[in-house]
Amino acid sequence: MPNVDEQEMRSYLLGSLSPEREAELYVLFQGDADLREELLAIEAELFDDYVTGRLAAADKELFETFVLTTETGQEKLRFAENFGNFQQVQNAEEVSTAYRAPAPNVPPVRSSSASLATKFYKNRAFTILLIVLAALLITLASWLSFRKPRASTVAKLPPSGPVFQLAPGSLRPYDVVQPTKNEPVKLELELAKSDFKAYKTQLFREDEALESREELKTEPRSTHYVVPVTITAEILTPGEYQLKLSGVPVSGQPEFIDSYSFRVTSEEVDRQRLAR
Amino acid sequence: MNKDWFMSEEAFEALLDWLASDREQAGVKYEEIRSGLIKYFSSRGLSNAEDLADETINRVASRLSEIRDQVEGDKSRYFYGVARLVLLEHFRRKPPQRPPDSDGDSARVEIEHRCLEECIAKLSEENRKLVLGYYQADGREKIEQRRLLAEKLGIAPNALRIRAYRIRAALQKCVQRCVDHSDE
Repeated sequence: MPNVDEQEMRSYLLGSLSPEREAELYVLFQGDADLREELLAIEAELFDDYVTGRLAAADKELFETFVLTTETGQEKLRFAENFGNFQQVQNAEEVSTAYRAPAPNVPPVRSSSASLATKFYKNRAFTILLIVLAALLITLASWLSFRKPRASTVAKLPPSGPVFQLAPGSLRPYDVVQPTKNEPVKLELELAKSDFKAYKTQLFREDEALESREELKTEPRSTHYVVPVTITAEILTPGEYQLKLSGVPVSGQPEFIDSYSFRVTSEEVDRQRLAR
Repeated sequence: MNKDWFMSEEAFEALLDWLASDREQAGVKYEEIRSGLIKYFSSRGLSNAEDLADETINRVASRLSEIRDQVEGDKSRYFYGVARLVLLEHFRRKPPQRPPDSDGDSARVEIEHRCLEECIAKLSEENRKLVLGYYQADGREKIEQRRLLAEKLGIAPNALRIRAYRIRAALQKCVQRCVDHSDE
């Protein structure tokens, strides 16, 4: 198979090769199905780079000129956006399972330790295995806590109370434990870009509008931005909620960006879930 | 160049003469250049590749008196340079495609998300892990994660790329069918 490296294929797709080389490669791709497939695979990754804002400005312009204008460009773009959002939701769910912030005043979960204790004293091999597993888990936990944070991460615990990060477009609501009286809930709505000077949110519960917040600003995080929103505790009874985020341009007319779903559960429900 | 400029027989002969002193060789060279230009424009998915190739040739021919003594070496390179400008002008005539706003389109987004979830659930566990693992990470992690994934599967990184792409392409078709079905 003729050798065309990845970088040249990217340049071909972005229209930045010399016309003669481009014409040569066109003939090559027409005649080689494997090479053509590799080109399509690289094109798919270009779409991902575009959607996640990883393309350099010059490449972004070339992409919009030469790639998005193709017949299937818009279709592939929609898929790349949806696929990226799906993965963000998956990541948020996986990490939240590992790092769910405990609700305040919830007693520590007791594992079914009686049978383990019995095994601990009766079976040394089992004991050693448990110690090794515990050490591995501690190492993994330390590594995860020090690595570069993903775009969607779990709640952090600032001194004033829990903060929950919500990823956009989630189909499964993120669980938030019902706050204690007078304790506000802080949410951080994740955004790939910060295009607007101000943002606005509207809180819904089962299609009933509850409250809105305006003049919100983004805060940068390592790989993305967040819009912090504080919601008063009195509003958040157990149930399913949706926050709709809009950007407010200079014209003043809000432009819808995305929706963020979360579910408020009572402490009792959450304790039962943790104990399973 | 005046868009209405028409290549007369005299201009065409002058062009051939410029390409090569031997008439037959000049004809072959002209056809090679024209064919190459058509391929160039076709590579951009343009249905009017032949028209754009002819426009390129006309532009070169219309300026022959100015460039005749300035262009040295392989003259086809000059044609390709003009072709690139013609291509850029063609794309600038239509504005670059920006992603559509999601404003007022949240119902469709929800349908697409649901379809994607359903289509991913239909994948075998192996394929699901492969496609999600391959496209998941970004930055430096991406390269390392893909390398590890390829190692785990015992295949070359490029084979992994192709395999992941095939699953992704199948997912895209599945989502499209699901969305179309929802629209009915």
